Amino acid sequence: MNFLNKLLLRLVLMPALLYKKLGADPRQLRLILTAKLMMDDRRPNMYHYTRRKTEKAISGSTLGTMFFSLLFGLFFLYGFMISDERITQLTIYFSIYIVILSTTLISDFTSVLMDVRDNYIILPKPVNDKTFVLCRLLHIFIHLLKLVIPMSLPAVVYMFIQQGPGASLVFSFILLFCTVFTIFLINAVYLIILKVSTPAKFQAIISYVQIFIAIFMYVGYQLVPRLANKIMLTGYTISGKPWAWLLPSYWFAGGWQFFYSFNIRYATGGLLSLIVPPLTLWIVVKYFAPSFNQKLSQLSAGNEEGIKKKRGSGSSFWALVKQKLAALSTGRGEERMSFLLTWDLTSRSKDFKLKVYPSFGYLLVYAVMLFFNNKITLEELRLGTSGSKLTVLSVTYICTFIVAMALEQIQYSDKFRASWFYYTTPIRKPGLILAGSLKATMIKFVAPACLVILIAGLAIIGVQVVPNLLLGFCNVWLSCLIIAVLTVRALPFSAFQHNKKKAGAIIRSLMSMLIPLFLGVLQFFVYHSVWAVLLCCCLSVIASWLLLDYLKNKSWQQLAVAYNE
Amino acid sequence: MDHTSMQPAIVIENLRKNYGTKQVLKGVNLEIFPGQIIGYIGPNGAGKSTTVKILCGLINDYEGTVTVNGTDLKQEPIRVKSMIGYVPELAELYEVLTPREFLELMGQLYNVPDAVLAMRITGLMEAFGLGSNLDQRMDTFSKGMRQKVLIASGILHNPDILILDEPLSGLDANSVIIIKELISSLAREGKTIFYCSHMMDVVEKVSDRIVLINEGAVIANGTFEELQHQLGSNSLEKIFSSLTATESPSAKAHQMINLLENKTVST
Repeated sequence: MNFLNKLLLRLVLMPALLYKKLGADPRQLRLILTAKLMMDDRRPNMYHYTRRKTEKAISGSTLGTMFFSLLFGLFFLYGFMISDERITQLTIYFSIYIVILSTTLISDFTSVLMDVRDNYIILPKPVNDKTFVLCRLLHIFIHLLKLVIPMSLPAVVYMFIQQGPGASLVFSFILLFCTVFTIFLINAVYLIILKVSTPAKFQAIISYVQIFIAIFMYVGYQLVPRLANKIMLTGYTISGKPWAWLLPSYWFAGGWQFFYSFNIRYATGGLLSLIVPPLTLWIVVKYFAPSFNQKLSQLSAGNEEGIKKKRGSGSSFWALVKQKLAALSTGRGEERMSFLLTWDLTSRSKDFKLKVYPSFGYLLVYAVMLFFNNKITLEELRLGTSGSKLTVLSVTYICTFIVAMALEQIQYSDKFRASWFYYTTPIRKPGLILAGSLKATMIKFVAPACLVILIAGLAIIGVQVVPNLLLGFCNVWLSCLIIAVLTVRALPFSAFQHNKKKAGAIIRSLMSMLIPLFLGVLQFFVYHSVWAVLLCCCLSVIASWLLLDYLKNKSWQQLAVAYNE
Repeated sequence: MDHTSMQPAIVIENLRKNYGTKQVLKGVNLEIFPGQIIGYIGPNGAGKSTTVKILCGLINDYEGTVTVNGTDLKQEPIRVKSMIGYVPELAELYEVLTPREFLELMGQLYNVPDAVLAMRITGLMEAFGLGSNLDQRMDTFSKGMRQKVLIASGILHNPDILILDEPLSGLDANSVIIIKELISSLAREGKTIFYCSHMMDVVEKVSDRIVLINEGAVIANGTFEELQHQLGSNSLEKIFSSLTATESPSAKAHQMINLLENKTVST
């Protein structure tokens, strides 16, 4: 255990006598907390999730978490640079603080909080309930300290330098209240999720929170500098805007101001920021905690009766759509099996979603940014200037990267051992499996994107863009096929994802990125001649047809795959 | 064995438990004496795990009384828990810890003195052939290895009562022999063993007394010989099936064969 954990543990266990008075056993508290902190240190945290899996055992993730919190804290300082006015600065700061702290806590700590194993491992031991509950609370408290201290440190220091110790002290005090309020928010989120869904589904929801964080970060990275410029230029201020009262961060900002200048607005803010957090804490203790504990114990009792069964996709509308699409696009047997497997697993595997969905988000953000960055007018789009041609083509060809990423990831799975059935069933052409999987990916992820692009194109530019979009889509399909033929080396969900990629694989995937680029450039030159575009469409379709046939006919020898033990 | 002079180790009286409106235990009565190995069997969903969870203190909102060595479970759960060793069914442990770390935590929670604890941990793990794995994290362990660690964690504090839930799952033949041997020796020393399993042949051989539970109530309770005599079947498997199966298993098997051979199913 590292020194930080030891220090925090000692700090938290200082009031041992008080704990004893409360009915807990300080010795057991120390034992369990020590083990818990040790485990925290070895558990992958949210900064590990989106990365590739490492084979090395994780240790010292506490320090990692704290380091990242510190980085976050430094990033929050940006709030102070955006505006000249303190109240606007503080509102921005507190907003970011609340959002980041709550999402980090939810995504990072839920698994710890929901650890059902405690009930099997700790509860049968002679540990009394009070020790058990207190242990949980202290564990959460330590985790909170690890996040909050480094996260708020930069701003507290900044305040100290800018306005002296008093300001910094008041600021820390307000931050404490802000943290309490954030805890209330998290509790509310937990409770709502548990109300509308089952504990079993919780993990799935948490992974969406993680995906959201990743996308949010990217948007922030892209947008904040632009917004900041705008605010700076226009001298935007938040004070006096009536909607600002809806933001709790505005109250906290007012609370801080209140210590410096008396003003009825600040006083209201100050009052709210002092009254609301204790009130919410009371709500948490009085109402949320008991019902939360009840839900948790339901979860832990492990009684299947109490938990609703997870629905398969039996007869719902989407299941029908899936079946229809499969029947339309694939032949019976291996190909259709693989289509359905890919379709289902890509929406149910947490691993896949965590690795691929954020990149979809990035692409979407990127596509939107493309539009706004190039500053193309509608008029130009209709006329088809070279700038607008570029925009249309980039937005269309970006779809290829969706497939490239999904195809790469579909090969891997945590449960790669479950792929034994490919090797025990009489499959003659594994190429059919690759084809089915590719089709599922295309229809599930690319077709909707193409549809959106088509509708947007029709609405913004008009019918004249259709041939070019059509060629674009054909070429996307062709590039995806080429990528699949070149890069896919394993059957769907059958390989273990290693950290290191072989040099050959990297070159292949880089090369495959050049294909859509090349096709795009070609299209750029024929863009204005409808006949040339349509001719290219035909060529592209013929090429895809031949390639698909080649892919389908790939034999076991060509694939050279083997069951992974 | 004559138990009249002895105080029972576990007394369960009129034990009831509901999940919502569903009654899982409908008044279970049991008396178990020291030195006995009880084979606790029943079909899936019969209330077996619920009984075990109540005995271990995992569930405490039950009706009826459970007394362990004269102590009421509801009144003094901590005292009762320190007399019991529990090996859970699913290999539930903290995988990121090493066996040494995990077992130290378990032993210390039972207040085993440090020196004794260290000796027992190395001794037990070596006996299980895991001496060289003591300081490896358990996330790489096979199911059998985890099971061995769990069994060690159940007997670490030398409990009077040992509750085993499917303890042999994932173990190789040699380890199975060790565990069976261990169970009989513990019973000879006067420990009480509560053995839950679906493996009828093991239960038949290991247990002194067999308790069969179905739909929340005890439907058979006696030595294997008594049950054989009462029901006229010679294997526990047959006895089990005759008491709990609603349809005859051979008819079901026959149905399946018909399905595979595309014959119409006649019932």
